[in-house]
Amino acid sequence: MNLEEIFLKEYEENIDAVFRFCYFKVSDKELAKDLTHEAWSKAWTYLASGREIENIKAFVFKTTRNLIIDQYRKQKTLSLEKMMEDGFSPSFDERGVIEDRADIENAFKVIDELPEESREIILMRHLEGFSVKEIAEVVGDNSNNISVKIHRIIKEIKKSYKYD
Amino acid sequence: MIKNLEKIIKSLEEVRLSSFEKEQMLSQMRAFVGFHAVRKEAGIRHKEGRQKPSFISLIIRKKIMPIGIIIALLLSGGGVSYAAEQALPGDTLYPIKVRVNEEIREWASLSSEAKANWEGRRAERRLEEVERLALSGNLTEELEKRLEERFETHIEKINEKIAEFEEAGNTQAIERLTSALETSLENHNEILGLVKSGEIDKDKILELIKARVEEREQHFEEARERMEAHIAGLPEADMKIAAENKINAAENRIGATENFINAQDGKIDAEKLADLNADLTEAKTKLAEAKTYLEKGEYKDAFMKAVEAFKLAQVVRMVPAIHMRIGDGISSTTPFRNMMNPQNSGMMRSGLDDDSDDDENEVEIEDESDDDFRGAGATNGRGSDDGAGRQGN
Repeated sequence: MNLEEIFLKEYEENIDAVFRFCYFKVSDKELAKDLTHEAWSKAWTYLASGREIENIKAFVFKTTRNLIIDQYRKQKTLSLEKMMEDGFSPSFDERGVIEDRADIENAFKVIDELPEESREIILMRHLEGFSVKEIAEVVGDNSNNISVKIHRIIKEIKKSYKYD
Repeated sequence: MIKNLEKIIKSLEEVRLSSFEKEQMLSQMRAFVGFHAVRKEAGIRHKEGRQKPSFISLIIRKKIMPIGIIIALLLSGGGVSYAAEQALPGDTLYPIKVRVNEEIREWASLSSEAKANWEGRRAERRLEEVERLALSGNLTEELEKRLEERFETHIEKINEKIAEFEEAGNTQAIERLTSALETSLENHNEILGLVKSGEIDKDKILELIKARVEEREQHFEEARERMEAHIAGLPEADMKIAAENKINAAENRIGATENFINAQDGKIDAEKLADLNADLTEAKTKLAEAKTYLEKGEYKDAFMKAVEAFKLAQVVRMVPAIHMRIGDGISSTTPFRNMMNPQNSGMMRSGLDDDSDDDENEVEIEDESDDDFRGAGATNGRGSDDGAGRQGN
């Protein structure tokens, strides 16, 4: 596989994760799509100029984050209704429609109330499965701090919402 | 309300693109990657963190380490390497031309198609050398035999590449490669036939070279159509960067051509010099038009106009060299005049060459249209500025 092919494979595998990351930040589907494209384009330009990327997923998340900081500070409220309005059609498991819907609604509620940084850390950790080290790379902090933050955020959410 | 938090968060995976949207975005990204080819002179290594190198970084590294060696080589002997480009078999510098310069360019071509194209160009270069030797009366049997052997080696490599493309089902690459190569080889063959039969009829040879140029123009037109289609599908921001970069490139090329033409003063008759200057002025007009389009936000038109300006300036620079090469002064009825016709201004690279060639003297009528857009993107520094550039923070 040449570099182009490897890059496109990574893109295909991670496009949803990056898109979600954007969407939860800007609450606008089309804008999230544009940002996703832009962030990956930047990653390619960076690679094509001969530089190295150790972890493409973390690199793109970091780029996305910087793009959003630069351009789109405003964020609307997140909700399942908003998501449906934006044209998403959740593929609920037939046997668990009500339960799944409730999960998503609750998830939106939880992340919507989190401060920006806590939200992105939790989403990267528990939705996208990032390692602590990767999160640290994306947000530009050290791993110890991130570990402490994750622990603290989870504790707070559990306390507020009485989750396990 | 008590439930596993991780499971709740995981339910947000439902937020995803539809398969249609995904396919659409993937195809956009493919186009972007295709047009922003890996830059060949790449050499800066940035270490991001201390993790194990990923597959991607390993691939890049494989390419970068030898670049360091090449840079060292060029720094120590760049002048030699440049001078060698003009060498013919039998010259001291000829081995540098074929074993160093050409090998580097082959190595620097990343994709299989680019490598195959360069191999095609190498085959053509051998034929051009035979032509030059024959025209100057220096073609010995031994030199011809050696060139023929080299030519055969290039053709064998091209055939290997074609077999690879066949295996991968890449028929478009085969089509592009063979159509450009076949025409060019036939043309060379005809010129050689004439030269070797002793009928060195310069008018006829000029006609044949002109036919080769026209064929390449046709190839350029096709490439241009492909390029336009791709540009039209790009986000506006990318289009703007591409247009700006192309305008800069055209500006530089016009400046270089102007210097070159001024240096021809006295070597070319005044009337022809005036012709060349008139064409150069036209290139400048096109450049100004490109800038106007850019200001109006019509990026695609700005890009295409800048390409025209670039090409025209390039042709103006090549004309004297072509005549010098065949040992002709610039005649009053130069058949190359039509090359400078605005309608035909988009000629150049045969599509067999994947790199820009800044050689002042070698006659390279090439179609670099496919590279235009890639070059535009690859030289755009923006990508590494805001988002990507902060990686090391």
